[in-house]
Amino acid sequence: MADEAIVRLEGLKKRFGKIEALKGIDLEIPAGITYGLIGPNGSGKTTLIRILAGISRPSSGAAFVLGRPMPDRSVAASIGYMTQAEALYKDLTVEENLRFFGRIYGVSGALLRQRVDELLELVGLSDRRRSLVDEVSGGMRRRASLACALVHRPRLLFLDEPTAGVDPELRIQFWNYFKRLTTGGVSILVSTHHLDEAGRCDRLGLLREGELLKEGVPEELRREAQAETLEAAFLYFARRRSP
Amino acid sequence: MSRITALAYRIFLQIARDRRTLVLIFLVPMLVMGLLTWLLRSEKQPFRAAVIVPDKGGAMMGDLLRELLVQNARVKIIAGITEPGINEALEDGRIQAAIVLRGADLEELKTGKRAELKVVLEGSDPMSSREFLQQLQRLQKPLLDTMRGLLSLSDENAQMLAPPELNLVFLYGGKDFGETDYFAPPVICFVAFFFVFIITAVSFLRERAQGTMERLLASPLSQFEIILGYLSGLLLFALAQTAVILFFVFYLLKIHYLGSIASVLVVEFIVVLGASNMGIFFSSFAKNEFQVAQFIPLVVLPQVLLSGMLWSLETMPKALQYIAYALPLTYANLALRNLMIKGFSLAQVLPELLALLAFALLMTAGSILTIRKFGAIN
Repeated sequence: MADEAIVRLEGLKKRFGKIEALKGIDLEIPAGITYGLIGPNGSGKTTLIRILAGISRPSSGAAFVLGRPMPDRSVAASIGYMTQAEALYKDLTVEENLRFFGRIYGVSGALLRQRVDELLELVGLSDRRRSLVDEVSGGMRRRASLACALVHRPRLLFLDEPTAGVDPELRIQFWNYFKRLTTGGVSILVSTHHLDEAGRCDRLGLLREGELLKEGVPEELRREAQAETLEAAFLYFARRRSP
Repeated sequence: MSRITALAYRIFLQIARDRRTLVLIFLVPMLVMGLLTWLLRSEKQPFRAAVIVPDKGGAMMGDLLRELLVQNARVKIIAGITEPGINEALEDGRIQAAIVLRGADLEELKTGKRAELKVVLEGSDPMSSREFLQQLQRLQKPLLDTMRGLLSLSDENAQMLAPPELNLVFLYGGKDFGETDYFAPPVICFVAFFFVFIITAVSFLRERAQGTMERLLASPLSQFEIILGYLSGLLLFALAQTAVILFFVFYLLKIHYLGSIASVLVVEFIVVLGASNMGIFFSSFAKNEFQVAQFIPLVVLPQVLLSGMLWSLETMPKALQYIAYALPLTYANLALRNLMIKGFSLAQVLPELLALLAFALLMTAGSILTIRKFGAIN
């Protein structure tokens, strides 16, 4: 299973009225790695992740997750999804949020209690577990939000700009969590527009205006573009595409 | 000064840009005033009554009574109803009251015997019953005066002609049933309907606004499970609310009621089913809590005015009755009044229950569509 693609896109298109948000994307993401989806705002990252998470339907083409064409509720339990917004119930406590998301994924009883404890420990919120989400800081909410995407031990994690608007210290922390998760066998698809983070991914896809400009290992991309930085590489591929 | 105008201008821009608010600000007052004026100005549907005179000798007084009722009171005389058929005619709504005139033979009246006026009232609407009885009382004097004239009695003998003995019979309700007994059933379901509708609409809206809807959609939860989950959570409060209201109304306010509390709860359950799904469905037409608040005049006011809560359906103009029968609370009110005032069983209010259920199913379809839409469009 490990060498099988966890995500496969075949000519994936998504239209919203006249606007084509995804213009036919072909891509294969192998299991067990951190895959970075890089692109400016409005490039189609969120649209792509929503289709993979089974929320949105492709207009044409297909998106396979764990071999199943999306949307398919049967793979939902294998996916952890962290939205761009915090997406927590502000009038519930941190712990109650975690328990709720655990339970809708079918985790319950002693197992749920154990997972909640572990995750609160991981994201460093053990002492704030009984605080209302409304009363904790923005950074804590981000961490709680990540924990909520992990309660059901997904094999696959879709993270939509998890570090947007997050202070540098917490960003480093987040990437350390991701590292630990992939070491534990979780595959991660993470979108970001911070190019400095892209270097920490195993593979990158460069997305611009609904098109996949280039895809590959960060180091190779940089070499091919003969660029010092990934930023410069991104600009190189973007320019090459649109003469 | 310019700081104040900056603020004022900003608020002007925001309201002017929110087209729905603009429409509502001007439309709702017109809608409400228009409906109210229509209701208040339109000629009330006349009260339907039958005058039955079993014995031949009383035909003359019977005719006189009918004539007086038509001319001096707003009563429509329904013909062709016999004494044994009274209850049936009251039940199916052909008439609202029947007057049985006995012992009105002219010769006997001359000797000072009193005629008997038995009034059988449908009685579930205490206000129209009372109005009818008052009109009937007022007719006593002209009735007697005319009779005296017809009999050409001397002054001395005229005193002998006594007013007929009034004998009241109620099919439903009774003498001590008042307005509160009539208003309690609709208020009970209105409160539950309103509460559940607003709460669902707002919490669903928040679900969307705070992004948790995304998480729910990505989870193994099906649309159906989301709806059922919402319903179950709300139902607990809605039924508890109903139970508290019923307790308050029955034991502390001493409202008259027949029938079982369980059947009232069954009606409430269907009302809540419809209201919660309507909340989900309507939340998709609102961008924020403010816009949910705007549904209140649109959804709630017409139902308050037209569902039979304040004006009984029977007195409304025909056109408004058609609108009324398109509103869910109309059926809830009919069902609850039948259960509580008439002491009907659930089986007897089946048509109303089915209408409520149809509304609930329609709204469920709407809410499923709503949840699907979040995925497909965003």
